[in-house]
Amino acid sequence: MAAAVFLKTLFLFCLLWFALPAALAGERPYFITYDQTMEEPGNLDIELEGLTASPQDGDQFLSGVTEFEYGAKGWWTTEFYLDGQTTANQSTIFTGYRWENRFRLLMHEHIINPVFYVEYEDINGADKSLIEVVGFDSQYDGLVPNQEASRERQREIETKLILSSNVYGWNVAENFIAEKNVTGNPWEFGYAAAVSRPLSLLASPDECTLCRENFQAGVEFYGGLGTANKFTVHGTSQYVAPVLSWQVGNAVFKVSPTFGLTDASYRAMLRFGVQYEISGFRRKLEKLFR
Amino acid sequence: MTARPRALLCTALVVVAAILCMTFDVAAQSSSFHSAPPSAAQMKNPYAGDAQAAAGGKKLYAQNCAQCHGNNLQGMGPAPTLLSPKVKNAKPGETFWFITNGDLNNGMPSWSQLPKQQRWQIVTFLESKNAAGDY
Repeated sequence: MAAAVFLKTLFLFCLLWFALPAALAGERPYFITYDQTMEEPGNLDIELEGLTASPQDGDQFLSGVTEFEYGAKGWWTTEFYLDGQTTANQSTIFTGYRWENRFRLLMHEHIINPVFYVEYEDINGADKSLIEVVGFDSQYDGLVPNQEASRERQREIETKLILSSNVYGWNVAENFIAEKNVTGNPWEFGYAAAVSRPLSLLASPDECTLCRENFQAGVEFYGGLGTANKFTVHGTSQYVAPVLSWQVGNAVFKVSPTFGLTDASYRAMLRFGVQYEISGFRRKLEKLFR
Repeated sequence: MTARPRALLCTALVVVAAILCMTFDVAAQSSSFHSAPPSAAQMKNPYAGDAQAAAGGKKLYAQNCAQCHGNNLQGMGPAPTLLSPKVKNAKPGETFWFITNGDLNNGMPSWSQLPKQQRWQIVTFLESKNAAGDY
């Protein structure tokens, strides 16, 4: 019975996926860093992101995040996340949800474009998505067994100041992160920075799959900056991650081998993702209920 | 003059000044395409008349613009037609400026994430479609 429901849902999902027109424009290859690009108003972007790693003294895990990003206004994008993970020899668990909002602070393009980000997250200690690294987050957090880690509740407010520039075809983005557990722990800080560029700045006249303009490459850097009590990089996790994205028709595929730079970091991780944008989602929804 | 009438007079002056500024702003804006600054009009399209660039622009239009403005530039819902004297008469630099900045309060997103070259390709495509001027 459950399997039948699952298959029907999957079928409907696939039908929607391929029936609706989609458009993806200059989507950045980043996994962690945000730039000033907002979701187009009325569009829904669905993204599945995975992360896998094999900790030195722990079990291999695969973390999954499903993101629903909606363009509420030209200057306001809202996004809902569902997180989960599976750890070898342990269990597969749902770890929580996040709700983020991004607000563009200036209505026109400038050399540096600031965006304010605020997120509420309700996740448990077993979450291994690492979609931000703050404070003294480390690979040792991931060694706690799922059963025990999932008892720890993390209700947090996260804010980011996103600064982003587009120059000579390059995007340069910096994020400053401040996160606070609402139960009273001190503020934790982190950062993310990235640069990327399409492999070709000109669009070729013909439809093509493997042409250079469909690829974007870059590199991300991110890590913790300690807490309000101890603002430092000592004892924090720091990562460097080349990123590559490939747009194929309605989809964008992304991959990022990630390397830890400090003892507290995972030595190596692999991130991967696929995203679809359903254009005119709001219009279609309104039609449905008219 | 006591403090209260003076405050009222100051408030009235500020309101009048604001209204005058807005009026002049609107008047100044109305002379350019979507309030593009004068410097935008000075920009030259590096691909003007380039058929290859226009073909690339057509592809980019289909990927990024057609969802709102229609496959044939006819406009859909709140998104206006792009086959119009207004678009035809706009300077290429003004169209480029508007594509880059958008109008975030009124539904037109910024397309600054597209490389500059690709935004010019879209301008080239729009110019080629509007060249006939048969609306």
